[in-house]
Amino acid sequence: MTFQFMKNRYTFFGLSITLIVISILLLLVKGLNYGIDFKGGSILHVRFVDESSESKIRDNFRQIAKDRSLYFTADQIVVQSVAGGQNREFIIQYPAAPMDTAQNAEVHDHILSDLKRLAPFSDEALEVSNVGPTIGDELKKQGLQAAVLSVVGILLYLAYRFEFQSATGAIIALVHDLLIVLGAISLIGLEFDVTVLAAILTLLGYSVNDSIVVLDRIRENRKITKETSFAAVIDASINQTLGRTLNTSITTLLALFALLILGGISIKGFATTLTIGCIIGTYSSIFIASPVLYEMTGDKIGRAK
Amino acid sequence: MKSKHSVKIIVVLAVLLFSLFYTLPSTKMWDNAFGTISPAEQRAVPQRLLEFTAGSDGASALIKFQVDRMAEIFNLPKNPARPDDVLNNVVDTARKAFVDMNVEARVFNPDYANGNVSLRVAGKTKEEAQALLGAANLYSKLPLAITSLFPRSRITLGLDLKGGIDLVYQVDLNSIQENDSITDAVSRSVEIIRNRIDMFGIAEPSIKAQDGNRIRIQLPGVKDPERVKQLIQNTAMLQFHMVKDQALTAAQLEPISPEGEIVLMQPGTPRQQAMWFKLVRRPEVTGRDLKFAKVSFDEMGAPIVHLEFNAEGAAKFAQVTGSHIGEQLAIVLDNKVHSAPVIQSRITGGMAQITGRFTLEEAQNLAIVLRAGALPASLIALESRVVGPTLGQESIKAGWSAGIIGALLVLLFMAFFYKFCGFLADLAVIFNTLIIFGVLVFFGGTLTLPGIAGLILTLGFAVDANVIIFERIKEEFRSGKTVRASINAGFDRAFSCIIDSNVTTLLTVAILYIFGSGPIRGFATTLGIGLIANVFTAIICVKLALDLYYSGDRAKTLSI
Repeated sequence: MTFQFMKNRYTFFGLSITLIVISILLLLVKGLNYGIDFKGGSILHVRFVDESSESKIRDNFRQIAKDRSLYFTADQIVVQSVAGGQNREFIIQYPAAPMDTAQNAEVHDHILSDLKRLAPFSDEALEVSNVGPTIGDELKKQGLQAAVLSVVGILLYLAYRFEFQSATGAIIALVHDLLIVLGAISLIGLEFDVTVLAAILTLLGYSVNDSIVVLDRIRENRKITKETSFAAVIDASINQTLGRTLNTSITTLLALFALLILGGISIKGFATTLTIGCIIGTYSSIFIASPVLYEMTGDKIGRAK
Repeated sequence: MKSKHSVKIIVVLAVLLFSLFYTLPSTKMWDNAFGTISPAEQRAVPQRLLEFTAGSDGASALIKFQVDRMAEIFNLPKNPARPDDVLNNVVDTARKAFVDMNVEARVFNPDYANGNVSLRVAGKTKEEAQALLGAANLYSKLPLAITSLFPRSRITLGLDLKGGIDLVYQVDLNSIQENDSITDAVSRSVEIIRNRIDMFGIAEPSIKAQDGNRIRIQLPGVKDPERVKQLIQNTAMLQFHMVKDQALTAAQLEPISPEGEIVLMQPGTPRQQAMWFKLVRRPEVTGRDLKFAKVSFDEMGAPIVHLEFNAEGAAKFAQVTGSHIGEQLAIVLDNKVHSAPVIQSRITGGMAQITGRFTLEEAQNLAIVLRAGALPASLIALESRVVGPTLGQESIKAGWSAGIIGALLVLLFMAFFYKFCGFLADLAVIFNTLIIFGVLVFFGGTLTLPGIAGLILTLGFAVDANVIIFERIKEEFRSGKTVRASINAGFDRAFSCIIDSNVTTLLTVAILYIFGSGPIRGFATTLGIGLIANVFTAIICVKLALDLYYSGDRAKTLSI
């Protein structure tokens, strides 16, 4: 059984372009929900002795804000109840002070001790993070640098190992994956923190990895094929590698599902991003990378390389 | 052919042994068999370390610690242990063990010179206290308390799993003395913070200067983050100023002459109102003249900080106290008046005490920061992340169950889909995981929560090379080749594909490692090791197993 991928390529180009356009619109209009790693701010992950609620916590913060004359109001805090935490476990976020000063550290310590006094914790705080505004901006810049560097590095390696058109196909598939995953993250409002960034950078590698398997096969088949059209060579190559593409994606997804469901709250964003990316990456390696190669070369088989 | 196999077998066995050697000591099984410290190390702790006696009231027990030999035996590798630091740590551990069991235990009579200290346990007899301390398994906890005395290679857990503090400070350039260079101030700050932390006794601290006048401090397994933060942030500038006037508000003070005098406050406490002082601007003696500082106790059992000045400081101190008898000398810490005792007599010998207003912990903190010296500039906290040990434990548990379930799913899938060959790939995946752990321990890499995620991701990923090869073997076999020829062709043809696809992934992983910090670096580490191990297990180990199995008669049918 062989599938005719090349014949239907415009359908998939259309689908992908639509998804990319939606993603770009989402990124422009809705944007990313940056976590404190990037925008600065504070997170208190605590477990109270008594049951609590968002409004109770907000009331407590109103009290603290009044006592301490804080730089933010109780309406600016974000309270998230942790699933399975029996209304006792909460993640509370509040914004960063407008600038980094020596006094800020004390403010955070005061807020924590006041909150503990108003509603005792069952343990020490599970997690307390304060990120000043300076660091967040730098991290954004670094993240972007890392992503650009990855893409350039991959491009150089591919250009060295494959001919230009194949490399371009893989890179277009990669950018395609990157945009759609970012769009999906924006759509579901996933908090964009450092682990999500790491997941995205990993996806860059994964996406290309997938494309390479197909491109490598095309490279090989070109040299030995008896077919007369390049489209047929590509179709044959995709079909030959289809089992591998699907099986690897399935095993990776199996591991990711386990991580998503059992891995705990700290790793959720990371697992979600990788899961989406794994699916998109598999799709693009089949339907995007090689058809793009075809569009660029035309139907000549070109056995030169 | 035969000799080629035996080389491979030796290599594979060597890698297996290496992985086991470095992985096993990190397992629970190992702990159960040998304890967290080895029997030899346990014997090295002198038996006379603890001495139990009944308290005079009959209802309390006294535990006497003899710690000087500890310092001798457990000589810290990097910083020569000061006996009193070891003493503080041992006693602290014992005290905490009691507090954990809701038994009140008070430390008194620390004798730093001879390394003796007593712990009074209220409401327990001698035998009960002994049993309790035995149950607390003090011996196994001691190594943690006395920092990394036993460099046993175990897996290093990241701050997010072990719990701990990750702090980034910026040296406040405005607070640097005019004649001081910035780089010098930063490197001295690092040195001083390191001293403070070493004296406090935290295992495996990492204190590093970074770009932009920053200092990053990572302290794993800290139970008392607030206290440690105080320890780091306090500038600890100790100065003695002569008092000119004092009042309840700044406005009530006599007018000051700004060149020669300053106004400082003594913060209020629940029992005492805040006070304002007019002081002579130039300090008489400062912390720079200090030789040593330690905690001791007054007749009432309240903690005090005992100061010892160097020769120059002692001379200055004698001079100023001699010429100002009856006047007040203010003890100023970080620009706040701590106290302002009246000078009773000329103090010679260079000894002084700071009394009152302390808890034991505050006194210990103060002694440490004074001993370590004052920071050349104040610190601005840019980032602070504190993960409690509970969350770390829960993360490990969650990661563990996700890993087990994920692994099982992948292993079952492979065995189901590729039959016998799939089973071999499963063995390779397990081997792969073992290698990751082994290499991680060997290179002292850190396992973080994203690292565990990377490990689980690798499980799914690790079969990739095998899948590529197996699919290729299937194809070759279908095209009519013999089993052996198919296997060889499958491996040969898949090779370039496996290398290319892994190199690009490794590239992004390397970039992650360079740009990321802490947890992310842990992820890049496990994933990177996993990818390389993957190539090894898939190309060398599985090939070897297939070659050995499909030889002779069995080479007729292929279970794939």
